[in-house]
Amino acid sequence: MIKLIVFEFQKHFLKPSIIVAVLLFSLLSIAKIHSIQNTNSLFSGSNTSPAWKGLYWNLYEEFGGAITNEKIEKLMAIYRPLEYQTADRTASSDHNPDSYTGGNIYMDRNFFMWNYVNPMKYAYEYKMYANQVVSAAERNMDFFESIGNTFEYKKNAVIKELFQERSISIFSYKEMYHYYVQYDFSAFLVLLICLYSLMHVFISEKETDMEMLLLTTKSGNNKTIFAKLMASAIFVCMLCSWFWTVDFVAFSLLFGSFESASTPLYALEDFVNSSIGVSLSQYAIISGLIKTFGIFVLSLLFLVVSCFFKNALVPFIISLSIMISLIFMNEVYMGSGRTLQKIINPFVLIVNRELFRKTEFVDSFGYPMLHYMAAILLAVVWGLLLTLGITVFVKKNTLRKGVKRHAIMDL
Amino acid sequence: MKVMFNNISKQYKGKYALKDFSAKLENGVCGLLGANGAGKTTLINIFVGILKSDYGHVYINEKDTKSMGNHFLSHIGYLPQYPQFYKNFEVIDFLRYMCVLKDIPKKQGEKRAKELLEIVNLSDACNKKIGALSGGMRQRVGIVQAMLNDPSILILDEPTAGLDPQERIRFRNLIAQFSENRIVLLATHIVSDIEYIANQVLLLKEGRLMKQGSPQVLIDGLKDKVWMVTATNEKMVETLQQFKISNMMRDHDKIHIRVIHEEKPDAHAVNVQANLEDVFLYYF
Amino acid sequence: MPLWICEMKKMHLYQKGLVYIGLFFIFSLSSMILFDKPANLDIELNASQYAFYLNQVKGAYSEESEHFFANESAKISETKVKLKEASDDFYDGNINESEYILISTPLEEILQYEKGYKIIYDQFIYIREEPEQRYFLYTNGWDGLISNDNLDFLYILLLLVLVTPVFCFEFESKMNSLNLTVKKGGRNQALYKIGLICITVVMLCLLHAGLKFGFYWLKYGLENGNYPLQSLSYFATSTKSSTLLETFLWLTACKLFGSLCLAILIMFVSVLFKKYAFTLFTCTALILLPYYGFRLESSKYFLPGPLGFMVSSGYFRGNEYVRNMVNGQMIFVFKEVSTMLWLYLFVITLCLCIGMSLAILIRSTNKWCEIRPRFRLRPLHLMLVICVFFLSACTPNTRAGESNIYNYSFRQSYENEYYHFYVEESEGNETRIVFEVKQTGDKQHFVRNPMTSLTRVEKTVFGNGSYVYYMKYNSDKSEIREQMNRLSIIEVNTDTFDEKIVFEKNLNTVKTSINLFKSNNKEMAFFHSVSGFFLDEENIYLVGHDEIRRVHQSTGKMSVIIRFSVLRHLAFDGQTIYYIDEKSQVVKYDTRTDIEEVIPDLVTQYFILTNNEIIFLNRKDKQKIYAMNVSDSTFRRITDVPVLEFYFDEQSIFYVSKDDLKQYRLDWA
Repeated sequence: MIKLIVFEFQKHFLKPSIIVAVLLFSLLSIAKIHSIQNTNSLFSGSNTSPAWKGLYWNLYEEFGGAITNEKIEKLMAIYRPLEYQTADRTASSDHNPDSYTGGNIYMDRNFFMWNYVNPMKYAYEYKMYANQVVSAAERNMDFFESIGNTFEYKKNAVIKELFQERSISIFSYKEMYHYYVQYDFSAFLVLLICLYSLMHVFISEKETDMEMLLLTTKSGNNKTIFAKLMASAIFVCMLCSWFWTVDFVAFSLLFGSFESASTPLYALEDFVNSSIGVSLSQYAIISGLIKTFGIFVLSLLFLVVSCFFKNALVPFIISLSIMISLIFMNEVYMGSGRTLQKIINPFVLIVNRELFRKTEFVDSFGYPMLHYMAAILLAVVWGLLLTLGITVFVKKNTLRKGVKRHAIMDL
Repeated sequence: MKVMFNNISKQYKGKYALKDFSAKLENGVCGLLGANGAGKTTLINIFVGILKSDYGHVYINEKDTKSMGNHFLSHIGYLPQYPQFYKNFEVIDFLRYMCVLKDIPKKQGEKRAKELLEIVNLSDACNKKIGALSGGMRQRVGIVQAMLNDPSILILDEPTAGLDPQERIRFRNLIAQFSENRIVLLATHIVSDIEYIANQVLLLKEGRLMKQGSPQVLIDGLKDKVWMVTATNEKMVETLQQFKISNMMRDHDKIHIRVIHEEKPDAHAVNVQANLEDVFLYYF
Repeated sequence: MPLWICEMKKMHLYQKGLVYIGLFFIFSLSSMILFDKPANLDIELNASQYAFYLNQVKGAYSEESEHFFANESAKISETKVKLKEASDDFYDGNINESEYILISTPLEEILQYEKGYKIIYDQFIYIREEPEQRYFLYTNGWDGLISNDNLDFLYILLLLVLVTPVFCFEFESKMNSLNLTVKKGGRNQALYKIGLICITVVMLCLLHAGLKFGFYWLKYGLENGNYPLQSLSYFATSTKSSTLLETFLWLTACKLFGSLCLAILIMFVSVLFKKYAFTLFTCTALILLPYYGFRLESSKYFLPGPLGFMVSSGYFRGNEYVRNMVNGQMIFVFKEVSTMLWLYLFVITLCLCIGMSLAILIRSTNKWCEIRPRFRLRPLHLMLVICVFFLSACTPNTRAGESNIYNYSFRQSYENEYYHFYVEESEGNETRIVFEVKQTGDKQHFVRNPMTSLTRVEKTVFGNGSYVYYMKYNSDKSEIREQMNRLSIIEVNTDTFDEKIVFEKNLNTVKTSINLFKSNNKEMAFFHSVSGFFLDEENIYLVGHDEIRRVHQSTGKMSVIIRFSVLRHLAFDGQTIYYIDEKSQVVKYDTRTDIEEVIPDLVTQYFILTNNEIIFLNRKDKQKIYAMNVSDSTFRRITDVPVLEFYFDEQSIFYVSKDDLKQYRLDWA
């Protein structure tokens, strides 16, 4: 079987065109990341002077790491006068070489506010916020117990469990992760490559008239289908791993930092209500895995569509249309509270920050299931159905046990 | 009609597919015989203008084909190797389409198509989709399309590949029928396709012309070189290893082996009449 | 039969081109009918009022129009004052009814167009910045037609499915070699194919442009095509001197050229690589990646190739800037493409097209027929990689059957059998909705979501039996600043305190994951100003500053049903909305029949609707409290003294007397 998988992999995926596309798209992804950094980073040349970056990292030695009262006091001793002087916006905005940033007092204020004061304030206050959530959840538990709403009771118990003992004790540089978790473009590139590569998996057998030959061989039926699916899965995994790695490394290098790996995910302000309590580096891995799974489910969809046709024209167009429709649906429900409509779309796994930035639940037979779990489960169901579809629709030898008739619809 | 190939050469990635090929063709069937990869299709592709030769010229009635341009194409009818045609076209529609491509006036084309379909016994299938035809029928559609413009040169690239014996014989007869007053260049590696219908045979090996002549001349060249050896099972293996074998025939506990060799291979060997297959084997 | 007919037959019948074209037009038209939204919804919702003013100022900005606006502003303010004075005089008994009608009727006529005036005044503000180039006109038609740079996916898919098989089909059928050996095959055939595709694409593009033009012409009207392009705010900073109609024609020409270029690109790639999948993949990537990949919206216009021309509206836009919040400098959000650069791009793209066409012809030429056999084109392994819709989804019907009285001034509280819900201001000026259990007096938070960050709950509730509704805004912090991205109305079943979303509106105007859909800021303004809401079985009613909008819960269709200059008070009994108009009269609006009528003799600045009565401060009787029976329209006086304000509960009315400013209680019994 392994040999069969290797052959299938070689046959369909080790093609110069695919390799060239992967390399070119990787470069494109890096260029895109560079433009994100250039546009958004507080240290990019287009936003601030190079002094910001130098100053940040100098001060980082002092203020980075564990958050202590001394550090806060020291920071506020710098920031308060700046805030006071700029409060009524009457301070001079002339260039002042003696300022911290080498610009003017407003820039100094902004520098400290955005880079140190606000993030540190958020980190410092997060514990309090988490405690508030826990208290509110406890109150809710009592309340819902009293009115006999067990679902809400259990839901709040889960929230309590999730938020208990959450705190951010370390101040670290998170800008890179802030933009990394929002980055989806490479997923789109991967989907395009998958769309192209997977079109051949079943169609090439028809184009080369190998389909009939395969049917007459011992391993040419279900084993070949299985090998094709396995080879496709391996290809998708390899492709995704490559792109996610390129993304991570490009983000880290372009933002100039590998910091914050152990900082909790909820240290990002957009993930204040995150449904998982993992570190940023762990999240990068989990998110990558889930994205990969989402792409694999869509890949199965491409494969199912291609099963019905003899050349790549119509299935490519149909698959592309489905892909765009799923992206459309995902964008419509992005940020929506209509959890079920959101998670039923397997594309949500690809833009999976939507699943982790909020703690939402789905009613699973009276049991509150975190919506990322439900999304993964639903995607598994989609995957199984699509796999079943492939095994049903691909032509099989009629002498095989259990086959009653041809299940082929070559259009 | 005379066709002359003059020093045609073609290289692929530094390796010669055709080297210094020169030959003269005249009316009648000309068999282009060669093993797989000998350069037959390359020669045909150069001849019909699909490929460009690296060197050499093709002359038709002493006129360089390069100078003839589009006019050259009205002289030829071509049946490619393993044709598929448009599977969703009906036979008659396909032929009409080919008439248009060959610039044959509508009425004339219609008439010609019907005649040819009649000749190849496909009149009943003229409204069938090409995708629904058997291999033999599709080949017959192929020769009909090649004959539509009544070409003076008919080029057939392995036309009998994949056909059953009955279809092959039918096809061979059609070729013989169509070869009157025109050159039929028939590339094949199946000797029997041309053995009885070819006026001349070109033997192509590794891109070079090995031999050219009428079948009889080629067969005569093998005079006293084909032997029949009668051997036992034990001796058979030894004979097989030693000599070029053209055929074997079992007769009870004995085996008659047809050997091609310059000298008498065995004291009991009997000299027999050579055929074109022996010629093919001798040179390849 | 000529070759071009054969090729056309092959393309449109055997390769199902006609089917795809038919499907395209069906989908295209349906999507236009179903999904088209006016660029400025306010104009459509207040069409007649807007048209009233537009007709007076239509055309170029002039001193007269400036005076007109100055006069009109003054006139409206003056009219409001006069109407108020007339009402006061009438209710104080200084003038009789006929005199009042005589005075108020012309004044009302002026005020009925006030909302339209606000819209046209916004336009006036925009126009007076560049009065030479900006004209007054009805913009929705032209905006819909030309003010967007959306890529038409359906059209791209159609071109792909139509053009790819033109050559790939020959390779798939292994007819390419045979075609090369026939007189009219090869170059001739390729030429016919290219020509035919070009004609088809031209026809399609023109038909599609015509369809769009027809659609917008029928739906909105496309008048004043001779006005300058800059009259549309989308092209505000454009330096191109062109009229609207000319721009549309130019855009169509550009799209035509872009489509031809894409078609030739598809044919080129298909001839080069001979495979369906690779051709489709390459062309899709070449179109979609630059469209999505660039940070700056205008970047795609700086690339030679089909994309810029297929979108093309950007060629007519000017430089647009925003202030960089980090360094305070102005940065480009859109960079203008100069005419010279456009020409360069056009020439380069044209050369590329000619080059690609020649390459197609050369590769389709019989070697004996080659004109110049000196050069040849090798298969180039080139991969030229350069490369919300806002949700108005609503859940099905809310609670049918029982209905509850809604009073706008009580929008911060609601009481049902078991609970009393109200907005409570806590320390630190924080407000929250709480509820009190009537039986025990226990006080609890109403919004039970423990995670309060990135959510803002509005200070308004609506109740209907055991179902209580509240409104919230959700935000995200994907940028440095928090951004509001969704308005939701949540239904809470107070038996179980389960929550359900009954209305959602995406308020996000920035890019989403791959920026598939763009939205319009103007539409969002209303949703940021909603101060109250109520529901019936089918619709949600959103109360804005000066209007009430009705949104159908299943279709999301929105319409303005009531307009008022100042929101004083309104109430809803499940079918009828009662509100106070400019003349302090109470008007009732039947939501089922859409019939509006003034309740005679009910003049007040404040009223409260109960189950069967409207209790109000009677303006006609020195602000004494009166009650009007809703079913038989009979009046009864409740207090004999003028009242400043009042409220009531099941047992009593509490009021503050105007005379001594003391609070009194009056039992119902």
